[in-house]
Amino acid sequence: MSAEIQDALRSEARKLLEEGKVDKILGYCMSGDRVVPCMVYAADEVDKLIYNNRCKINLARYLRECDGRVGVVAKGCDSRAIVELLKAKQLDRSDLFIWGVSCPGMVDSEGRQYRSCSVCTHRNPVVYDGFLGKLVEEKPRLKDDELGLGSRDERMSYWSKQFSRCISCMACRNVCPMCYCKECVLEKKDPEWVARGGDISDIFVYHAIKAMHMAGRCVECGECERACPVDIPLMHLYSRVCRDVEQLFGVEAGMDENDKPPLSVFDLEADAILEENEKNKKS
Amino acid sequence: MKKIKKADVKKFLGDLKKEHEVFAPVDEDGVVEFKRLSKKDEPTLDYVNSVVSPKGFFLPMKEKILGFREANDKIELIDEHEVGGRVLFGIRPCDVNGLLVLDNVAREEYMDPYYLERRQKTILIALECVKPGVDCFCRVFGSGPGLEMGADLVYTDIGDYFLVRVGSDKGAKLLSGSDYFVEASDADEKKAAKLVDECAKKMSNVESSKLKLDLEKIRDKGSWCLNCYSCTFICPTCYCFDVVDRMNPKGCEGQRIRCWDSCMNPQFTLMAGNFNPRNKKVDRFVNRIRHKLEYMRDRYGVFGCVGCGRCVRECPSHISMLEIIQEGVR
Ligand code: SF4
Ligand code: SF4
Ligand code: SF4
Ligand code: SF4
Ligand code: SF4
Repeated sequence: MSAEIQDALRSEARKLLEEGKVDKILGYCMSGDRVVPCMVYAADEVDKLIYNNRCKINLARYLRECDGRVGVVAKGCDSRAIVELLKAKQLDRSDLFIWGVSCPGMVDSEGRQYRSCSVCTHRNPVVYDGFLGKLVEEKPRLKDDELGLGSRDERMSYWSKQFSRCISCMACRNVCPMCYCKECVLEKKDPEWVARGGDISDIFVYHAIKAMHMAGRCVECGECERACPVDIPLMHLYSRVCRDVEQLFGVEAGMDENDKPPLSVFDLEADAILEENEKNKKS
Repeated sequence: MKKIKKADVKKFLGDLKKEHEVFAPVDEDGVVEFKRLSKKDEPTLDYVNSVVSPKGFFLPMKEKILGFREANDKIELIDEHEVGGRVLFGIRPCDVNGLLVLDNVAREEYMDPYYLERRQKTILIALECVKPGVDCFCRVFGSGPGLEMGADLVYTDIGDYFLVRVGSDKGAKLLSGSDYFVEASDADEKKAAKLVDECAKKMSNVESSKLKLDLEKIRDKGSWCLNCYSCTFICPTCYCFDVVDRMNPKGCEGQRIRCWDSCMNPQFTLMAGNFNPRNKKVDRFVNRIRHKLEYMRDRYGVFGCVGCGRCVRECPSHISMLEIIQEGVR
C-alpha cells in the first residue's frame, strides 16, 4: 500500500511541478538510513520522495516556515495540524496543495509502533486536495478513564517522577506544529514566568503552561514525546486537556477549518461557542 | 593487568560506597542515566551511552555558585561550592574524552573553580565499548571505543570477567585495597584488545584530519533545524552557560546560579539595542557545527565532537553530525 502511495505521489508531484501549480513540494526522503523531511523543487527530483511506515515526522511543523505555493504530503495528524494552523491563521489555504495519505501507523527503526500511533483515531487525512492510496479503518478512541492515571496523588507522583528527568531542552515545544508563538512564555526573560535554573516546581509550571496552551489545539501527532530525549510521555497530558475542551466547547482539535477555536475566540458565554460549533457540525 | 569477576562488581562498588558517592548508569523505564547507586539499584553495564551525557556531574544543569545577603548595611558573600569525593562508574570512552575537551575550556585563561574542583574530586572508572550503538562514530575522532587516557581505571568486558587497566595512582589505590581483583593473563588482554578492535571496525570511519566543512551543505541541513536545545544539552562537550541571580522577595538575600544555556537559543547572542549577530536559525546551526568541528580544533587542537552519537539519535529533525563530517571529508 505504501509503495502504491509512493508511486502515485511521485507522479502527481511531477505533474504539479511541471504545470507550475506549486513552487515546491514538502515531503519525506531518505538520508542514509534515516527518513528526513525534504523539499523538492524540480520535476526531475521527485524520485527522492518516499512514503512508508517510517514517515512519522509532522510536516506541518515545517510548512509553517515555508513561503510560496507548496505541495505537501499529509497523513491524518499532519492534516489535522494544517487545519489547526489554518484556524489560527498561520497558513494560507490558497498557498497549499495537500495530498492526503492514510497512515499505516508509524514505527521506529526497530519496527516498534509509536505510542501516539497506537492510540491514534485519525489515520485518514481530514483535509486534502488529492487523495493517494486507500482509506484505512479508524480505531475507537480511548475512553476518558483510560487517559487518566488514577487518583490525584498517584498522578502527582507519576508526573513528578517523569518531570524530574526533564532537562528543559525545549524540543517538545520546538517540534510542535502548534507552538508557533513568536515569543514564548516558557522562556521569556522579562518578565521571567518560568525561572531559568529553577527547581522541580518550575519544571511543573513549564509543563502546566505548555499543557494549557495545547488545550483544544493538540492534534495528537506525538512529535513532542518522540522529540523528548528523556522519553516523557507528554502527549498524554495534552490529550487529557483536549478532551476537556471538547466536552466543554464541542470541538475536537484539527477537524474542521470552520470550527471556532474555543480558547482564542473571546466569548463570556461558553455555551454560545458550544452551540455554534454544534451548528457547524450539522451543516 | 587485573581482572574482576562480573559478579564481584557490585561488591566492589559496595566497598567504594563506604568512602565515596558512587554513580553508575541505571536503566529506569528504558532511559539510562547516571544515578547515585542505592542498595536496590542495579547498574546497567551493557548500555550504549546515557541519554544525557554525564557532563552534568562537572557542569551541572544548574548550580549555586554564590550566596549573598545584606544585613546591617553590610553585604556578606557566601561561597557555595562544596563537593565530596565521588566515583563515576561505567563512563564510556567518548564521555571521558568529552571531559578532556571540557578541561581545555575550564583551564583557558580564567580557571573555572567549580568545574575543576569536581573534576579533581571525581574518580572515573571507564568502561570500554565492545558493541557500538547504531549512531556511534567515536572511531572518527579516536575517542573510543577503547580508551588511552583520562580515566583512573578502565574496564573491558571480556565475558565472565572485566579486564581492569590502571590509568592513574588514584586508580591503583582503589585496586590495592581490594580482594576482588586477580591477575589477568595475556590471553585476557589479547581478548579485550580484539573485542575493542572489532567494535571499532563496525563503525564508520572517515579521516577527520582531512576535514574541510562544506558550508553550503551544512546550511542546507540547517534549514531543517528546529533550534531546540536538545543536541547541545545532551552533548558531552557543550559547555555554554548563563548566570542568573535569584533574590528572595525582600531582595536582601539571594543566590547566584549558573545554568546551561544553548547557542541554538535566539536570545543567546541578543545584545543591548536588540541587535542579534546570529539572528537566523540556520546561522545558529552553522555556528554550532563550526564551533565543534573547526573553532575548537583550531583553538585547543582537539575536535569539539567525540562522536558519541547522542545528537544524531535525538534530533527531532534527524540531522546527522556524522553525515556532516562525511560530507566534509569526501
Ligand atoms: S503537543 Fe505534541 S502531540 Fe500535540 S500537536 Fe504538539 S507535538 Fe503534536
Ligand atoms: S508553549 Fe505556549 S507560548 Fe510557548 S510557543 Fe507553545 S503555545 Fe506559544
Ligand atoms: S523535550 Fe523532554 S526534556 Fe526537553 S523540555 Fe520537553 S519534556 Fe523536557
Ligand atoms: S536537536 Fe536537531 S533540531 Fe534540535 S537544535 Fe539540534 S540540530 Fe536542531
Ligand atoms: S556533537 Fe553530537 S556526536 Fe558529537 S559529541 Fe556532541 S552529541 Fe556527541
